Amino acid sequence: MTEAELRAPDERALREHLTSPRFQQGVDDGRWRLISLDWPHALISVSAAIRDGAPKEFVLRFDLSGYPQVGPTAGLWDSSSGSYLGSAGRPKGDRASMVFRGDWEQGRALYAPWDRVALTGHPDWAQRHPSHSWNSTRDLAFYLANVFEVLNSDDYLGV
Amino acid sequence: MQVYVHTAGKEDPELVEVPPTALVRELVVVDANGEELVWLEEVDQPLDVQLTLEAAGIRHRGHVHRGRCRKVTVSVRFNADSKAHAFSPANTVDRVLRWATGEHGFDLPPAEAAKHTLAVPGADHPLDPRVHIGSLVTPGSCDVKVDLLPKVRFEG
Repeated sequence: MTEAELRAPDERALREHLTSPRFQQGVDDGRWRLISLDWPHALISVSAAIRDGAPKEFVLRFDLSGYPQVGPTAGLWDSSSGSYLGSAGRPKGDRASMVFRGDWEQGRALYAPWDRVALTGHPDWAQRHPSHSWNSTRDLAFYLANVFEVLNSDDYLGV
Repeated sequence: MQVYVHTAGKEDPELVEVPPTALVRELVVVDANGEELVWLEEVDQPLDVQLTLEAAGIRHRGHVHRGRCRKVTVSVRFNADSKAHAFSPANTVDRVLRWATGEHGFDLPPAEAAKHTLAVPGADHPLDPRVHIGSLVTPGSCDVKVDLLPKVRFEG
């Protein structure tokens, strides 16, 4: 068997989605980029609108176990310290402060219905926010496009 | 080289491998309905299909649209009102959103405009700004209906 055939279905599905036009378009547009993949974890950076004193991109550390039947979960990652990002460096703004809040789940997941941990903790969100909720027909580009949208809206204020 | 080819009926493009010396015509479908047209992204006039991809200005991993609608009439619903405008099929949702929130559309203040997005009625996701408006037409039609909706804030 080849190395690809030996991989579990969730890893195979993720690797297939990484080569899809949906994901590659985001890379080519400079919206996001894969930094590393060490299954079931991945580091992916997402670009942010220019704001004084704020970074031009934020790194997310994903847990992709069970993908895509089980949704991804991700937290903001500080690559220099190898740990989740502290409150001071987190994106601020009307929606950004909520999605990237550091006072919930120790900042290891995003507070949004596209994130596994948040959706599990808020069972009503799938019905209240179906347009933004994860389901098994979604892909990683759906998660990343939602994050990119929050970080590139006028209500994003920087860090 | 690889080219993102957007077409009617699919929000996501295909990534097509073609030699730079190929003709634009090689990107289109010819059937009983005739030959499709090809546009560069955000350009109003279709390309000359006799040109090579290079000569037509199509770059590696550039975006083109292929289809049969020379113009797409987009009707945007907002509250109880509706406004329509004709766009190139190669225009993006981002451009349509700027028109819909701008002075020729519903004339929202900039702060309000930033809080809105577009979605196809009944769809399970808001439209990505990169989608071509021509990708949303249904077979046999050159019309698109979308809703202008407030962005969602997740609480509780």
